[in-house]
Formats: sequence, structure tokens, C-alpha cells
Amino acid sequence: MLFNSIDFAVFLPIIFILYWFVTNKNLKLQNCLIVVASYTFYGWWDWRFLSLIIFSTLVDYLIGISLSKQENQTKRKILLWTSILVNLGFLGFFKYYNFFLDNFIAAFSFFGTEINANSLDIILPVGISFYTFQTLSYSIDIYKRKLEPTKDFIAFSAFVSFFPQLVAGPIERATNLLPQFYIKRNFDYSKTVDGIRQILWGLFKKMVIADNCAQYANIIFNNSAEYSGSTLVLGAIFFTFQIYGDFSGYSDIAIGTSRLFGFNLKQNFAFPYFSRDIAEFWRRWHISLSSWFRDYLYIPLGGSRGGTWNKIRNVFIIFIVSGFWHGANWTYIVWGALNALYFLPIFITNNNRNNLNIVAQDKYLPNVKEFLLILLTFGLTVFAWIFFRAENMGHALSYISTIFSPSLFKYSEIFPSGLLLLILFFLSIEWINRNKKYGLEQFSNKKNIFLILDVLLLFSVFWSIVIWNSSKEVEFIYFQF
Amino acid sequence: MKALKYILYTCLFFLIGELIIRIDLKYDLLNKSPNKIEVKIEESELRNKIEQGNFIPNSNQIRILVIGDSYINGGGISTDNKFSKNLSYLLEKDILILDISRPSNSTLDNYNSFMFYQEKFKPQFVFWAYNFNDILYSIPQINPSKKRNTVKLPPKRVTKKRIGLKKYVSQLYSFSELIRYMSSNTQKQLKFRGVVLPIGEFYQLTQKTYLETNKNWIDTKKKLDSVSQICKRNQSKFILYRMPEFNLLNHPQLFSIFDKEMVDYVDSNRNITYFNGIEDFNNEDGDKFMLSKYDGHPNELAHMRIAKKIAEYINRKEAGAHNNE
Repeated sequence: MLFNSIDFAVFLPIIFILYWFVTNKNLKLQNCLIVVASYTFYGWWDWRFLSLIIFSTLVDYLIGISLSKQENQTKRKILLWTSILVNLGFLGFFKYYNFFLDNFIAAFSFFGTEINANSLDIILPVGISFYTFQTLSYSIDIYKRKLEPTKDFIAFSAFVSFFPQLVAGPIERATNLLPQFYIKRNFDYSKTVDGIRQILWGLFKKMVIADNCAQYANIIFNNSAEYSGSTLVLGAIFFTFQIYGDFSGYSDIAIGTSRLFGFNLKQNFAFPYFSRDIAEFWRRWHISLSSWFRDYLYIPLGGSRGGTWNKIRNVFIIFIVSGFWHGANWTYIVWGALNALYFLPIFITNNNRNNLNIVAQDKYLPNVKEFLLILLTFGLTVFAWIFFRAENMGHALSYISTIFSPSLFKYSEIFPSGLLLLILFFLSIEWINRNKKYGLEQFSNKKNIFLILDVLLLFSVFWSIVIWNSSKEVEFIYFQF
Repeated sequence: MKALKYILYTCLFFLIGELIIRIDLKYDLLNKSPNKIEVKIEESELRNKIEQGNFIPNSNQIRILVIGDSYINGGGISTDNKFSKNLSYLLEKDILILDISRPSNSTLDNYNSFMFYQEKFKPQFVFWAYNFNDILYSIPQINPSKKRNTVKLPPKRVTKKRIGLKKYVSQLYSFSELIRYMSSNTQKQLKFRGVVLPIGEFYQLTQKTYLETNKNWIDTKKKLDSVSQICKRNQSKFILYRMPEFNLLNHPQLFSIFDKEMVDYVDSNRNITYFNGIEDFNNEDGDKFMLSKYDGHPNELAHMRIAKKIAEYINRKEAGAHNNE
């Protein structure tokens, strides 16, 4: 079920009413309802893949209990590796089998040996990368004795399959989300209103910004040989806003929906395109994934301890794995490596924690230096997204070579001024609210001019979604990851 | 005070909507217009030749006349992928296709085109792609402005309040771009999901027009009878193809009255070879064959599917005719 579909518009109010008006007296019943709703939500795509989630839930639930009882370190390690192998095994098979097979064949063919092996026609289960990481963190945290396992199977199932964030995150840690299933949730009007506002903002990002940008980005990327360099730059910029609107829009809808049911999820995007360097960008982009890799991969590898070469190695590993997590294609790996290259100079020179505060704090506009830094970081990000969007490496390289040709100075063949104006409007709202958790968060509670502006903005965003949506139920990009 | 606040907010809410829709209509900010189905009428050397009376039929050639509206003309798709092009690739013999389909053609236009070209082109096959809305050569008036009876009737008692409300609603509808936009979009969304409100042209066409007593339908049948008679006289085959609405392939029930009437009619006329296009796409995902969610035009894949079906029929007929010789 897509968040931007009529199905979900019917589904959500039904679950909301059942949750707060029918099952509200009994916590177990509420959790049961979440599980049923989540399985319905997921099964809407393909009910066969429900078996994967149920199996993964069962395995990690049992391993979690066994881990807490087990004192023998070797046996604990075996249990942990069972969980890792089962979860990553599914992920590896569904997502990476064909990639490895194709590259294996290509490598042998390069050395003159032809291997006959057929690729499998595998459908990637929606959101597998997200719930796999969520369940993995549960087992790892219990192994590290950071978390007590739950004996409540329903609560654990609800945690694994919680429908707002099941298919595209945020990837929640058991330490944050699981305890919320143990305590009684009470209906909170202000929380609900806030949730609705965040859903609205997410829908605006997805349906107005991302889907409309996607139309132009697709035309330009799919026919890149026919356009001038200036048009290709525009295509890359459209994709930059498409992916941000798409993914952060999903996160906003997920967080807002969770709030409707009394849950607090962590912020996943913190206005990343206003970053002044790449380190800041990565602290603000897909925060739940970056912190997952930091805690479960980067730190176990040694983190920033050790010599310079160790640091460089760890940075490359984390960025390349992050790229590979997005998809089984060399373009994602190059995208990850490129970000590592951007990051390394400021990391090695210990400048990666220069910009921890919000840009132009307590000011209306950034100063010239800040503005230029934001522009530079944005430019680097746009360049990296070309690899992310390209069909293959050849496509990416030819796209870039056209950009850096004399045609860069030609007038762009495509110039949708209306869409650019909408992007500008969107950026202005995000800029004004950059110190908040999402773009449409209430300006002020006080009865003043801001309250009127707030109401006007809310209504404008609502009608923009109704009128300027791209008229198609387009899937979120991150579903494929 | 609280009630006043809510009334004010509600007014503001709709005013902003009205403002945004008017901005969109005036400036077309997101270039939505190019997404509409583009139709272009192509020049044809063959057609020019026929029109100028310079065409001499070749007895060894199979001649096919294609009639219909933008659906078969290939609105929104490239020339190489349209039905008549696909058909020419798929037929096994020396063939000549004259495609006289035109966007917005009604039954009357199609009939007139047939009468004009059949004499000069002398087709062995006449392929007529019939769309359910082709009947609209005189749009059924929902509120016909009939001449008043000369006999004066006593005035009906209607309460003042109702007149006022009706007037208010109609004034609001004529003033508000937002209401018109919302109403048309809601109907489109519902139709895509198989729900038709008892208002508007689509409802009128699917529920009220294809009735035995409807004058337009009776006229349409007469025209089709006439075409079939001419074809019989000329020893040509008349293929009547019921064109589906491709965005509504998964909701055939919306056309049940139309389909029943068509089947009843073709059952009574043995000179017509009838193909119900819906059957060519049975149990298939409708998304694969439509150009857009809100438009019934077929895409490239659907054009190919129809062409295959017709080519198969023509090849079979030709092979049969050859064997008989």
C-alpha cells in the first residue's frame, strides 16, 4: 500500500478509529491491531513476502531470548551469527544474488573462461533492507547486553512490522521503539494535529516536489544523449530534489503517522541541502541509516581510532557499504566511494565536526561564506547523484562528459519555470523552519501574525497537494532498496 | 466567537484553494497541458491520390480501409507504433492500407468517410473501430431547451427556499473554478475505480444512450446496416471492432448495457464480423495498455495487440479464399 494512494487514505482512518476507540482499553489488543494492520499494509503488495517478515520475526525473537539466557560466550556468538546469517542471507539472496552472479561470470569471461549460469528472476521484497537492519540491531544490542530481550511476542512483532516505517524507514533501534510498545498510549490531541501536519508536509514533498521533478528527471536521464550540458545539469538538479522529496517525504509521513498512534520515531532528515560541508550533509541525510552504519560497522571496525590508513580504510568501507546497501549496481558503489572522497579531506584534517549547529542560527539569511559553502556542498551532492540515478557506469560517464562540454553554455532545452518556482517555495519553507523537526511544524502558538501566516501556509500546502500533485500514484524510490 | 472563527477559517480555506486553482489555470505552472493526449492528422499520399481521383486499384493487392477516431488513429503514440502501421507489418501478402481514422470522428463522420472512400478505394476489408462515445453525433441534451407548449399550464408550487438554494448552488458552480476542478477530478478518480455517479456525459452515454428506444442508437444501427449492405454488395468483409476504454479495462461492468446492445445488434446482422475488444485484454492488468490513468486511449502495446488480432483474421480469410480458388 502506498502512502500516496486512495487505499491508504481509507486504511489509515479505519485503523486510527479502531486503535483509539475500540482497542484503547487494552494495550495487548492495541499491539495486536498494529500487527494485523502492518501485515495487511505489507501484504497489499504481495502477501507471499509476509512469510519472510514472519520468519525473520520468529528467528530474532527466539534468538533474543536464548542470547539473554546464555552465558557461554562461544554459544552466544553462534546465536548472534545465526541471526546475522539468516537476516543477511535473505537480503543477499533477494537483493544481491544476480549482481554477484553476473559479476562472477564477467570476471571469468575476462580471463577467457566462459561459465554458463542463469540469473534468477527474483522479485525484491519491498523494504527488505529496512526491516532486516531493524531486526539485526535488536539481536546485536542484546548480544552486547545493551538491551533486554522482550518476551512479549506481539510487541516484538509490532516492533518489526510497524507499518508506518516498515518499508522505507526510518530504521528504528529496538532501544527506542520497542519500549514504546510496552507502555499505554493515551490519545493526545496536539500530538495528533502535529502528526497530521507532518503527514501533510510529507505528502507535499512526495506528490508535488518529488513526483513533478521525477517527470523531468526521467525525461532528461532517459534521453541524455539528445540534450545539451545545461539541460543535463538541470536534470541532475531535478533528481536531487526528487530523491530528497521522495525519501524525506516518506520519512515525514512515517513519523507523522506514528505520532497519530502515540509513537515517537527519530528524525531521519534534518534539512540536508542546507549543509555547509559533506560531513554535515551526512549528519543530516538518512540519519537512521548513517547512525546504524556508524554503530554497527564503523565503530566495530575501529572507527576513527588507529592510524591514518585505518581511518581512511574505515571511511571507505562505511561509504561503499552504504552505497551497496542502496542497490546491487556499480553505480551505487561509485556513489558511495565518491562521497568517501568528498568526506576524507575534511575528516583527515579534523574539520568534520566544524558545523554542528544550524546554519545562520538566529538570523534570517546566511552570510556570504555560509551561502558559498552551502552552494559548494549542494553542487558536490548533485554531481554524486548522477551516479546514483544513472542506469550504469557508461551512462553516468557519458552524462558527465556532456555536462563538461561546450553545450553546457547553451540555453537549456527544458526549463519548467513553474516547477522551479515551486522548488523555491519549498526551500523557503524549509529554510524558515530549519531549526524545527520538519518544514511545516507550527511557527508559533501565540495569537499573532505568525499564527495567521501559519494557517495560510497550511491551507496553501493542502491545496497545492490537491492541485499540483502529479496525478499518478508513483512508488517511493526507496522501496527498491 | 468560536463559531465565527471556524466560519472564517473555512472561508479562508476555500478562498486559498480558489486562488491556487486560478493561478494554475492562468499560468499552467506545471505544464500539465502537454500531458493531454496529442493528436495529429497525418498527410497521406495514398489518400491524396484517392481524393484527386488518380488511384487505380491493383487486383493483386489486398486493400484495407481503416475507420475510427483518435483511439485507432493512435492519439498520443508515435506513427510507427499505431495500428495501421503494425497491421501492414503483420500481414503476409501485398497489402495497401488506407487509414481514414480521425480524432473526434463520430459515427456520422465515419459513415460519410466510408461512403466517400469505399467507392474509389474499393477495399476488400473494412475495419471500423467503434468507440462507445462515437454515437455522440448529436449530444444528448441533459436539459433540453424545448419550445414551450402553447397551452398554458398552471404554475407548479415550488417553495422559495428551494429555488434560492438551487440558484445559489448553480451560481457557485459557475463561479467557482475550484468546485468545477474538484467535481471533475472526483468523478475521474471514482470512474477509474469503477464507480460512476449518475451525472455527466459518461453516465449518460453508458446508461441512457444505448437503449433500444434511443434515436441516436437507432440511427447508428441504420448506418452500420448500410455499411454492411454496401460491403456485402462489394464482396468485401466488414469488421466491426468494439474499442475498449483502456483505462477502464478492469471495469467491464460499466459498459454492460452498451455491450449487450452491441451483441444483440451484431447477432441480428450476419454481414458484420464483430470483435469485442475487451475480450482481447481479458484478465490482463489494465495499466499495461493505457496511456494515462484518466484517459481511455490505447498505448503502443494495445495497438500491437489489436493489429495482431486483425492480421490473424485477415491472413486466415485470405488463406481460405486462396484455397477455395
